[in-house]
Amino acid sequence: MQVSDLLAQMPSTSTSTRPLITHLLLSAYLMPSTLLSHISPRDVRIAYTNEERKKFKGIPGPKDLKTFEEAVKDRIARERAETRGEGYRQRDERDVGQAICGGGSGTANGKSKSTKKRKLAVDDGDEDDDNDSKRNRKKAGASSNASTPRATASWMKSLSESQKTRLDSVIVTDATYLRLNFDRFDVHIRDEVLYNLMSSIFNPTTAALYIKIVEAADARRSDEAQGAWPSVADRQSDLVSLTLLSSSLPSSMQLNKGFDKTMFMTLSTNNKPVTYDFVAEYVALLSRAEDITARSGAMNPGAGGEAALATSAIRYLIPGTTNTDVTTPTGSRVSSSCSVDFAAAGRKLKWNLLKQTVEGVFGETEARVLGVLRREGKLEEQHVSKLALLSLSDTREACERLFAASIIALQEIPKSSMRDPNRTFFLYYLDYPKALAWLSDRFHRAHARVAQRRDAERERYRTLLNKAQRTDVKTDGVDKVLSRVEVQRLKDCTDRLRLLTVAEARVERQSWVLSRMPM
Amino acid sequence: MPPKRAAPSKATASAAPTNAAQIAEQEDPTSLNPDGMSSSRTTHSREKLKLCEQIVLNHFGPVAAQIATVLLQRGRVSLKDLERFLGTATATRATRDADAVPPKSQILHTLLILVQHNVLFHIRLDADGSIIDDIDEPGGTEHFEINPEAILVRARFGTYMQQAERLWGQEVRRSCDYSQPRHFVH
Repeated sequence: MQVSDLLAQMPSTSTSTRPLITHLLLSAYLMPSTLLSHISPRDVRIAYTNEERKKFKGIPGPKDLKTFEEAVKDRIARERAETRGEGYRQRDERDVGQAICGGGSGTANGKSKSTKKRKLAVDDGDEDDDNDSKRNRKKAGASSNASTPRATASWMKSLSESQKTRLDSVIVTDATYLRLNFDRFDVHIRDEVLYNLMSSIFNPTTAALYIKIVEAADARRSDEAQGAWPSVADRQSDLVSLTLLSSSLPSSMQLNKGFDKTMFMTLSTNNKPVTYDFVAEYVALLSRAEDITARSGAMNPGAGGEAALATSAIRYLIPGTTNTDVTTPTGSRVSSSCSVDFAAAGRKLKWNLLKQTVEGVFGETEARVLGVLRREGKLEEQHVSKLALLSLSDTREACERLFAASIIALQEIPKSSMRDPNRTFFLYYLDYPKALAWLSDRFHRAHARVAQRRDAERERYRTLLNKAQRTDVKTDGVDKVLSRVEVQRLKDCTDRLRLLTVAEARVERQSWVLSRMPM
Repeated sequence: MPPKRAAPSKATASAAPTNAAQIAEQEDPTSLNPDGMSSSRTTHSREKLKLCEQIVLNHFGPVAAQIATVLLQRGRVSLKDLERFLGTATATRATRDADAVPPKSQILHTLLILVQHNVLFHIRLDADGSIIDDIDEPGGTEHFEINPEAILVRARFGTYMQQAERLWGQEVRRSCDYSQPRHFVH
């Protein structure tokens, strides 16, 4: 959507609207939208590869094809990087009417809008300076009063210094087309999800501190370079220094609540722990500093086939590799900077989802079998029953049911060259990507059905709901206009719709975790 | 042995540095994760497509749902093919009320709306497959392809608006509201 159209359609704009849009653009919540973003990535690649091929004389061999691929990748990456830096220009006297974060006042001036262009295909968004010269309409009544527009909106107060100086110097171009950057918004969903996870594993105070570390890392990423933003696809965050963190924590945060009262009692009164000590203690907890095997680095496996390596010993924070180690009040040594491991948390979340769903759909037995198979790898039925402490018949049933749902798979190993089923090992194993695909499919189906159900409910009560939207009902109140029966029915209907909406949101959140969180 | 999750070929950058991951994420801003995290982003199961249909029906209305069904099932189609498929489309949920094939102007209008909402990819190719960039150049066929990830994201818009309001106040919520206007084409 074009900025000028946006401003025209909004019911009320203030002097801080444009800076707000600029801020959103700079911090990657909004992105400039170009012609390229309206073409499917596959088509772009095919078209560019065709161009490369045409330039090439003769028949391309495999090495040439590889060079084509590289060239196409680079070209696409370059074009994307270029569009990222567009959409805004330096502030000049035309923008004096806009609210400014830092200092600066000036005489009022009328703002101008560039010509609107509506075409079937979307224009290129990068005609900043061309359009400035095409102004042919001054925005009527846009001139602000002579009083200086230093009014700062509430959101401006929480900006960092570098962001404020940046915002003072640039402003968004009217002709730019914008789109929402969903990834950037997803970061907030991710933070919420992580908070819930930490809260359930540890306690709310630990979760609160964990989120503060995550936010610090995110803020650092968005401050750093232009074009870099904290993304949900990040597997590991930037390093966060504990000293800086502990000094920036709000004083309302009571870190001692998260620990047991007796934990610090043995210390002498001179060494009463301060915020920094508490922070170090939490970091030691979250990064499993006391676990010797953690130091070998085998704790957090990367993506790929090591899903089977899952243990319950996950490090949620990874210590930085600085030389300055800090000793916590209880004696653990912890590095003075750490980074958040999103991949580890993501893996845990996905596994939790899978396990809960299997338990809900099939039963506790199946969930245990699943857990055993995940930990151990490929096992025969007898081994599964021994490890899961179940009878063989139960295990057999459970394995069959899971296999029928294609959550686990079978590997046949013949003992002889004749593939005799009586002399073959049948090993069950958990095909983790397939299991997650099953889960994701299930969530999509549930989502679609809940949405359908909600539509059906709305359709059933359509006349009543329309009646409730009438102006006289709205002004006078439902009880006065509708009969008692209708009021009751309306209440039933809205309750049901609310439940369905909540169910839909819950399913959506689960499928988001499954599809967006890094592995 | 659980198969290794190979990075899907659609993403370009390797999984190594986060910068590359970001650039590749910028590449397909609403689709793939270059870490190869979930191949379900490129492959769309039947359930996913049904969900997309449902969301389009909710957000855009029955005509758009009809068109979206055809596009989701057929992939990339040209305008002529789209009309042809619409004419022979079997009755779906969406067509229960609207029995006839929508007129061409309505189809075009719906396509425009869907493009505007970044749900539909469109590309104009000439005879040998190169992209025609210039709007005014005549000729070539316009192909449309639907972007299922963009549809699934729409389910989260409520959360986004709530976040925006929390961070920046009412104004932003209204501006986000208007950047995804709801158009019902009946």
